[in-house]
Amino acid sequence: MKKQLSLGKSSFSLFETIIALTILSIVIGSFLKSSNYNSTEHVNLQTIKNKLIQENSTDITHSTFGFEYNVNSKLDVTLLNSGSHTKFIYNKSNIFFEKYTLLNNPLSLKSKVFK
Amino acid sequence: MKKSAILFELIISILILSIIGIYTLLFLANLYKTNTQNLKMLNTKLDFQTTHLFIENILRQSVNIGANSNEILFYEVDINSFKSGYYSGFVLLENSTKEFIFTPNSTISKIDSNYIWFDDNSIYEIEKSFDNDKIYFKNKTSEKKIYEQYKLLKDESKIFLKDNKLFFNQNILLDNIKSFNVKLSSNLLMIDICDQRCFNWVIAL
Repeated sequence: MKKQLSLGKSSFSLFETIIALTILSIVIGSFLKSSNYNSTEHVNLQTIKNKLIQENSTDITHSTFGFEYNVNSKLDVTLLNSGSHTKFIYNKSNIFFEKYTLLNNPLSLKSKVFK
Repeated sequence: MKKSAILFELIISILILSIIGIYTLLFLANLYKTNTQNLKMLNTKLDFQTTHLFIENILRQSVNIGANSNEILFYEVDINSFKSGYYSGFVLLENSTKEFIFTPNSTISKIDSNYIWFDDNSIYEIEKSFDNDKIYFKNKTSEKKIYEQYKLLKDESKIFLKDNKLFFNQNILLDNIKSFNVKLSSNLLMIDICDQRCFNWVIAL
């Protein structure tokens, strides 16, 4: 009678352990499954970089900034144009990038032809 | 009645335990496979990213860049000699001739360059010289247009695909490459490179 009771008790605790293990493995399994490596992230950043270099994508907006001016006198300034420099903006899916292109006058070097 | 119930419970427990065991093994095998694949993918990605940065960096320090369908040709500027102060990069036009250029503050004997580049993208072959402030042209008779600034170049370099390997001159950059296509349009170099996956790199020149 005593032996039967102890067998019943141990099988019950074994059953309980197995149920706990099942639940635990489901939880750990789903956690590991959900933390897989996502390879598309890099491709997207590379695509954004390519778009910013090419500057002609529909995802890129651009605006101009900077002024050129002539100072005629202390209180007389003539603005020649507005926006000789360009700013490119990518703003999509919570990713924001800015790229500035500054217009600079190319330096002309002296040269000499030796015949 | 009690004994049979316990036996039944035991059998059920063993059955569940075996199922859990099998699934655990399957899960571990799958986890190992996925992690191995991810590691391989990550290494490939890093290799590609490193190669991209290498190409971008080397082209930034190069001139006369040209491209065929699957190779990039360019001349590397001898930037190390310039940084070491072995050549100034400036020419005194008044003291130069069609045989040599006079470049003050230069230690030309320490330089191991083969070509000189001027602003109009013209390249001339140069001689090994021990005359420190002068760079001698190999062809001393031809007509030359010399600018007041110059760059010294190493040999012509190329990046190309051969036997599924991407080479930079004699060095292997990437292995198992299926395709490597290059297109040059105005000041943009577009590279399409594929192994299992494809990458598109745009490099501003």
